[in-house]
Amino acid sequence: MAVERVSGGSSLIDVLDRVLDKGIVIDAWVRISLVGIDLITVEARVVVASIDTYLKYADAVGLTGLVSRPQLAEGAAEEEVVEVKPRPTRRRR
Amino acid sequence: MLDAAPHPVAQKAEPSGRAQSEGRYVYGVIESRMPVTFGKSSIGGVNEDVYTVHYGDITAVVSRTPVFIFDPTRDNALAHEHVIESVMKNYTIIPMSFGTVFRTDDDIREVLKSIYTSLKDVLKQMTGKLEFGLKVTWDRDRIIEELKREHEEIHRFHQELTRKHLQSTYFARMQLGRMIDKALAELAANYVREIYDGLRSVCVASRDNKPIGDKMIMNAAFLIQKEREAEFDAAVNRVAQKFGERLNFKYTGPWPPYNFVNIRLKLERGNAG
Repeated sequence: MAVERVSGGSSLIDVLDRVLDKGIVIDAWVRISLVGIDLITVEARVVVASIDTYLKYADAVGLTGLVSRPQLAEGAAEEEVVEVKPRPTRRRR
Repeated sequence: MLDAAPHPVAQKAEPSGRAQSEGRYVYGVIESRMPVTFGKSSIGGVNEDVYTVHYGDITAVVSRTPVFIFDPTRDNALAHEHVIESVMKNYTIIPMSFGTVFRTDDDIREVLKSIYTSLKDVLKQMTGKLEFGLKVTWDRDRIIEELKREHEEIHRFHQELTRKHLQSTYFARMQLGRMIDKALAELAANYVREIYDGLRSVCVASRDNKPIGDKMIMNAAFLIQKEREAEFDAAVNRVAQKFGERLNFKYTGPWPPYNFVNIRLKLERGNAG
């Protein structure tokens, strides 16, 4: 049979695929500046992929065509964006 | 400046050596009012206790570390994942991406405080759920040979081509290539749809990531209700069986919901001080 199941930690590629840029992510440039300076969150965009991402969407459109357009899974439609603490906007004239 | 030494601990370049070794590596966020410990972490080549930093009823899972930019080496990535796995045994964890280091516990509390509502919401939505990854590959060359034999249009064209004189074959071959690509894409799309159909009833959600390389036709993540893990397992096997030798299924997990939580934080230099 052609099914191979491995636990998460035993597949380095799959680990890297997830840990590097998914979950709670702090901007890369900040990660560098984190070394040794005081930091306070000024802006947090929280995006929660809705629980029904693919399936609900698939129901609505019919499954056809989804495969050739994988970016649908990331589309803004199923994401909820919460601006937690917006940065004070700069005044412009 | 990023290509730092593989053993950050051995580095003592900074004059303020003591302050440099007092950072906190953050693995993720869980729900708990009480302090919890999770054994040791070997991230950065050290062996430090994994403990919690609280803000109300949510808490960050951390360990002490030099303030350092971590390279995602094999050891570091696996050490990160290892901590996550031990937390997952008893808690729903919202994972932090690799290499996030804060300078003090207060910095961590500040972040927890500022995104508290969102974290609570995400934790609530993810409680009792696990992620599984599923990658499906095929033997592309073998499928192409099959198409040449069995796909009516391609078969006819291929036959004709092998009889033709050399001067006309260049463009004809291009055309054949395009026909094959199109047929492959259609076939892959059909297979992927069938796979999703076989799994949709046992998962809460799924996410379609971009396949890697030309042998992979599906690179998906599934969110599963914890108590339905066995059902999902059975469903994957059932679907795989249906395709027999044509497709290879590789599935991984359980993972925390990496593919279903996407929280982007931007930090800025504090102006207090």
